[in-house]
Amino acid sequence: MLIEIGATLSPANFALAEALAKLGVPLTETNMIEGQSILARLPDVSPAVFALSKALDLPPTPAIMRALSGVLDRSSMTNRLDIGTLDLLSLLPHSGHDANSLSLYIRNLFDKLGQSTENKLLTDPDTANTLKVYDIRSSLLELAATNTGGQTALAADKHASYIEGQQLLNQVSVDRTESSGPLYFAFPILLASREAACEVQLWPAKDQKSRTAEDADKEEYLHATIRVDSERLGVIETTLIGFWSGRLNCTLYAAKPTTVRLLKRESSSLAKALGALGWSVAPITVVKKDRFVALWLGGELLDNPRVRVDQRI
Amino acid sequence: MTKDSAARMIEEETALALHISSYDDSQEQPSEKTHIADEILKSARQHRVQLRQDPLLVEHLANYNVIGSIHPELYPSVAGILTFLQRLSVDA
Repeated sequence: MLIEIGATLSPANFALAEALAKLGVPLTETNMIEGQSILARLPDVSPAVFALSKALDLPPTPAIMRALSGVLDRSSMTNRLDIGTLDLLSLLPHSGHDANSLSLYIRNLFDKLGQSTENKLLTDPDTANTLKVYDIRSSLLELAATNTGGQTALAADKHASYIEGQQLLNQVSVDRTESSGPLYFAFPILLASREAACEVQLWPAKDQKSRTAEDADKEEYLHATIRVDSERLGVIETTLIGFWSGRLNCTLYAAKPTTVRLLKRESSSLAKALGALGWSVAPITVVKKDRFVALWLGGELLDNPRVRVDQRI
Repeated sequence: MTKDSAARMIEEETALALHISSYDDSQEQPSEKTHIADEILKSARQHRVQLRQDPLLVEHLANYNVIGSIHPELYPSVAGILTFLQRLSVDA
């Protein structure tokens, strides 16, 4: 197929073709040439990032490529902001929070991540002067601009791209599903004084349709996945499905066998904490899981085995 | 990053931006959205708010506001889970 479209059989072309095929993007001469051109100009961008931009119909500008790279390559990011800077930017809920203040903190954080700087400027230009203080992304870019060339500048710029990537993917999800698709938020947290990554995938709120109590026990009210990746406990994923009846199903997944045992031993205290919020919590299930698929829109496709490369078949 | 590599990156990005810009110009007239993106960039410059100077990124993020779509009950539930994990990681 590569020969037919005039591409050389190089490892770089194979990688690009593989990435395009995996995300269901047609393997055409135009897509290959565009991909080669972008990847040659932006050496930090992976073929998967270019393929994702094509799959989501996002223009492959340097800023958009960098934003998508921020989400895709988060695990391999080497330039990270130090804990003090994250704290200063209100980007790090620390372990001193109790559940109530942590809840307020997360709400505040999602309010900031859930609206773009552009939308704030567009919808309420009067607040533009306060954006420099309250908008995380523009604060990060400000930090990058004032520390030109330094490690902090690079890390701040990368974190800003990471936020832009989340917002871009969420906007595509909103556009494609008419606001019914999943949203993705990611932020660092402190676990036992060490930074860990927290990702949340959630489905937007829906109005109640059920009329009877029986139906209300089947109709979802809240649906979210919370994934935390820490050095000590490994990956722990929690799925929460709440129903209009007030019943809550909670499942815990972990990669490490020691963490699975620990979760099984301690899950009753989580059930108690969720019950205190007003939920009728069904017995919590703990499951060992080895494969964790990316939680952002399009991420699951990257983990699926490709069906075929040749799109003409 | 060295000064040379930073300069090279800017050069490359400018070249790519020009390439994309000329591609777009040949395909269609500037859209209403692009006009809005220019207005947003103008407003950002006016108020000295840091923003990526990429009209296509700005255009895609111009409507992004999902705050109203999030369940208020989500926050205490997520906080309950994170508090549980924080305690677990200290005890482990």
